[in-house]
Amino acid sequence: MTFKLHLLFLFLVGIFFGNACPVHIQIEDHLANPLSNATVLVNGKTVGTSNNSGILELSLEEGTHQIEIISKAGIKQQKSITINCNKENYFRFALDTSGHDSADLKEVLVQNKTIKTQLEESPFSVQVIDLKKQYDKAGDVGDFLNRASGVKLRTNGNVGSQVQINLGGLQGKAIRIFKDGIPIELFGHGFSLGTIPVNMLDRVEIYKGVMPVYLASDALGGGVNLVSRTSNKNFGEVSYEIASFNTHRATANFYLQNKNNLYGGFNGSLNYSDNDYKVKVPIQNATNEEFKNVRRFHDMTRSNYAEAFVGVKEKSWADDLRLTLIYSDFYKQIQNDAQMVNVYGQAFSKEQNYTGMVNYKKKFFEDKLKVSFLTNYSHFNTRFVDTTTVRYNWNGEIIGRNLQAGEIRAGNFQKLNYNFVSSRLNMEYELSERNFLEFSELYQYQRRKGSDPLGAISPIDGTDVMTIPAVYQKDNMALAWRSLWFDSKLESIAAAKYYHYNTNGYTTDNYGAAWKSSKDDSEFGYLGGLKWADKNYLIKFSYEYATRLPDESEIFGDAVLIRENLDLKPEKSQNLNLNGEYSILSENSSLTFSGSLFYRNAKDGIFLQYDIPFSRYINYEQTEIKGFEFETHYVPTKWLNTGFNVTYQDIRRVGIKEATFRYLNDSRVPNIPFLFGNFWANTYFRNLFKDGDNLNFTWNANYTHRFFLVAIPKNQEPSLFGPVKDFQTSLIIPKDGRTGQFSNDVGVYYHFASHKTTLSAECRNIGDVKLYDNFNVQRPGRSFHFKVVYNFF
Amino acid sequence: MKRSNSLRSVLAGIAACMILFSCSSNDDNNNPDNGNNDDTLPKNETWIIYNGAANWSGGIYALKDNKSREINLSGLPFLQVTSSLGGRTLDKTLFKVNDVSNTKQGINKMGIDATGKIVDQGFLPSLSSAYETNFLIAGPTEGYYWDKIRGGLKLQKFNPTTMERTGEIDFSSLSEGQPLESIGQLIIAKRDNKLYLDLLLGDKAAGNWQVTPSTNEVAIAVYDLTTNKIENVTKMGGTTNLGVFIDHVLWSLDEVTGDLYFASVSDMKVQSSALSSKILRIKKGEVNFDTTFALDMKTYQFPAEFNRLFAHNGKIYTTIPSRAVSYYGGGQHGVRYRDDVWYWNEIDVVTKKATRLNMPPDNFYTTQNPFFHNGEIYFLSNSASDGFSGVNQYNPVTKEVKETFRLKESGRIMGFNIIKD
Repeated sequence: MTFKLHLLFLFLVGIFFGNACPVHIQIEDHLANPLSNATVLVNGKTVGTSNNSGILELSLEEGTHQIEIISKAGIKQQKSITINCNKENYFRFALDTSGHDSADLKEVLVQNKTIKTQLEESPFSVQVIDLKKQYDKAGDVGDFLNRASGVKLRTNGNVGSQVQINLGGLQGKAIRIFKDGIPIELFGHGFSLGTIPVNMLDRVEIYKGVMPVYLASDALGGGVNLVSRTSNKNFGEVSYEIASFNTHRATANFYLQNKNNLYGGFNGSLNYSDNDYKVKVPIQNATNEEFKNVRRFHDMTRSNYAEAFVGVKEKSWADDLRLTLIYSDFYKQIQNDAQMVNVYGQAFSKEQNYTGMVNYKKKFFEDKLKVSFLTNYSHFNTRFVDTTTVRYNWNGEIIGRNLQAGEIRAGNFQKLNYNFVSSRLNMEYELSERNFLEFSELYQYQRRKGSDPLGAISPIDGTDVMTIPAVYQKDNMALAWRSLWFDSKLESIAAAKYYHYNTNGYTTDNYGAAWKSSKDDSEFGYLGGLKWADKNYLIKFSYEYATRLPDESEIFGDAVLIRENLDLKPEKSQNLNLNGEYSILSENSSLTFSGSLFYRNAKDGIFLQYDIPFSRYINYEQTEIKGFEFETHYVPTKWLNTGFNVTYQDIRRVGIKEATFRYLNDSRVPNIPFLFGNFWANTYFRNLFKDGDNLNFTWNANYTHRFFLVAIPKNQEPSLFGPVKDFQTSLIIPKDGRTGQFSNDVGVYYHFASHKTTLSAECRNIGDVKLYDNFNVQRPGRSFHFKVVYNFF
Repeated sequence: MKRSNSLRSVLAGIAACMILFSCSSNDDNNNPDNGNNDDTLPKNETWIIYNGAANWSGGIYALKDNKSREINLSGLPFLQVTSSLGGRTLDKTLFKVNDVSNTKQGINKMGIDATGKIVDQGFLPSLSSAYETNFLIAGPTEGYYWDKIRGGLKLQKFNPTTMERTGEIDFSSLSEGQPLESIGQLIIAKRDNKLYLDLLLGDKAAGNWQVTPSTNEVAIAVYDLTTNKIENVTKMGGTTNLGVFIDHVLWSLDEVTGDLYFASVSDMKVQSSALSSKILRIKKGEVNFDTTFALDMKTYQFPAEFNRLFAHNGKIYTTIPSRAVSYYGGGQHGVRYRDDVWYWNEIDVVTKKATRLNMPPDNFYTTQNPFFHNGEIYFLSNSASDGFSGVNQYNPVTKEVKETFRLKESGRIMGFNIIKD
């Protein structure tokens, strides 16, 4: 199916080449400076806007055309042009802008919506974190996500540790993460939420509950799209951060473009951390155990990511054609188990990733049809090595020798090779000025093969199950109709989605036989959204019947500890969002409130049914989530902005069928924070030591209310801030009696007057508060970060 | 003025939405009695009930004045645990494998506080990070456990009162140089001041869960606590692998006859007919297997294993599945290991005749052995088809079966103990 579509697409591209002549329109002001964002009309119809170089490239048929240019300031110019396909069609328009002062331009800029604003004003429940002014900040992108309203990051430690996002109460595989629309898994652990410095990204788009068509995928609870840095002008930037726990981060971003619109660039990052922060842990002695504060000793993480690209822009045959090559690697020592009870001293994992990617964008039919196509191929080599025959305590001392290989399980020497192919096709066709058709398709192919002579031997037939190739293919499509009404104040969207997957892998029966079997399934979904925007308020409603397809590991298990379940069905969820925003603006101050109510009803949740000797994934849980988010942002003066957000999500199991377990009906789903929020204040002082310099201070605080690790019957839940009195438990975060965890980060940033150099210093968790996450894993205490950013040009 | 009105409107609207959306019906019921009350039940007994959810997590409850024949645990105080498999007792103290999170390996000690709630009272950690701690509480100050990291052929000693390790007994002299050697990993029994410990010498194949012994036999080492010497190592062929389920042991001392019984499960992957699961015996006063005696699972059902064991007055109380089962295969002929196929039986050790007891079958989500209390033997059952999770009691003299209690919408029963005042 996908292959056919791709052929069709290529065929269409060929046809379009044959029917149009390339036309270059150059727009300048009266001083010959390029004029960007000027609107170009051909024969009375809008065909596009000029880019940062003042250029618009389009295709026109031979003959005479009436061209009208309208600048951002409203200056118009009309001219007739004659197109001859046997000649070069280059036309220059010079607009007289001398009569417009800077004040007018400033006003126009306010009206010109940023991508952030455009996305946030779509009918979806979306939040955009613009990172362009955050490149001076330390840490990784996860720190910024965690401060967003309605978003909670769950981590197992510090740099390089596994990170999952909770959006609207759903987390894990329910939330899909993309880099420029491609599933992030295809870029390796070197590019993950736990390792990406902010300098690598332009922005982060967070879609809650309802996924836009252009990110069509099987996301049950929404998704996050990490958008890479890009530019229309030359730039070069390097940054380096040094931080506590022997942490080092460096980034380099370059972009160069010549007059022929040939361009190339590089984005790279290095991460290294010993992650040797102190933890309070039990250490056994001759008679019992005692708790001590010790440094983690086997949690070193190192990741490298390098992305080089070349391309051409604004040609008659391509608005943008880019070839990207990526190399990344990742090495991580493993210090402890998920509950941070068992300590390991030698186990590690590592991987190398090679990716090639082609990205093509073009507008057709007088820019009515916008096409974007991206395809990539990735090859992964991964290793998971746990072969030692010794055991360690938290002091890093060997406490046992000559034991069975493997600290974590029964030993692993796992070598896996993955091949991934992923393609995304996005098309938008303008039916009329106010009606648009959108189509998106995401195709994924994954093949895994390897070996693990220690850890992957089937107890049934003795086969190393990793030597048998496992294949998983997934195809997601979406088709939408988007309309604008009432002077574009009202926007509506309705879409249908189609999900399909097939997989094959290793199966065993009860009699010691093994064979390859396959599973194939498809589902339909749909979504709708409405938005009403007026001068200072915005109201949105969106709904999606969302689906998450089971993946290969859930269907076939690992054949060692987890058995297959070929009857596994996709997870489904009804997701609703009601969003509102209200702004009070004055000349030098602003106050913005935004809030949302959300509802999710997820069925057939895929649940690992633990057992010995085999566990199995089954469709079991039904979850109902009701929640709200509220955020306020206050800018009382030019030098200060402050605000807070709070999220409450009531995530409960419902519809328990077995009478035996009905006592847990309506109980909170454990191990998910349900009340959390952030507070912040930022100050900006300009021209402090020298004209043009800038000194900023920031304060960020985070609060996460206590949450339980194991389900509690609803009628025995303690009140929100009341003590736990009906039962005794240590299966709670935090378990030291606090009703929540509250941490504060502060930072100071100095931008030199040259605008080339920035120096930063931050202190995270300034109060050295004990912080815990997933299953009581201890997070770092106070840490210091210093960062320098240098821009070449 | 306009600004403040706008602000107030916005705040009021948001507050209203928050209240409306976050409110839910309040059906809380924190009545500690919870409707459970039956005056016919002994007032001087406290029932300890371990309940479990689908993922084995749950709570440990103590019921004294609120015992009844149908128990709804909702609203009653409990100690929360991640794995609710229970429960061994010594007087009024409870012991179970691993801590409340079930990740910290070792022995957890619990008790009843002044208000009648179950509370944590101490923990003895194992150095091992694998789920394999076996232990015996022999008295208030005498306990034994196995800790692979401290040495497979060393039996650890501890004080159950202080929950401190007190030393170890070295059995290294029994080594044959096999890759995996253990003493007391699965059987630690005490009789007449002698310890009876399984001796397992072999290796574990990749992907296998059990140790494969170097010789197809089972072995018990007898250690005399008076002389502090290894008195004997007795072996018996025709079966392998004594014991297997660490939360509940597969040995039983017949308090009436003084005979000591052990169950072997054999190789549960292979389920060999020649080495089938058996119940073996060391008679009172003996330190050698009674080679004239064996109860063979093949006699009753095959393939299958003995997975529970309680001996009383010349009778063995255990489960026999109604269909062939396979632990590794997940099922035989469509029957899963944890289906409602495990029927409680009384087997006469002389005639070897098995008599099915008239009570709901069990599906092996709990692994607790039956126990004797006040002239009656108590059996735990979870049966999905019968909608039953509870306990039945059997009078071995009158042969009468009576339902002790059943849980009402309160999870599976995972453990049960009776503590007398």
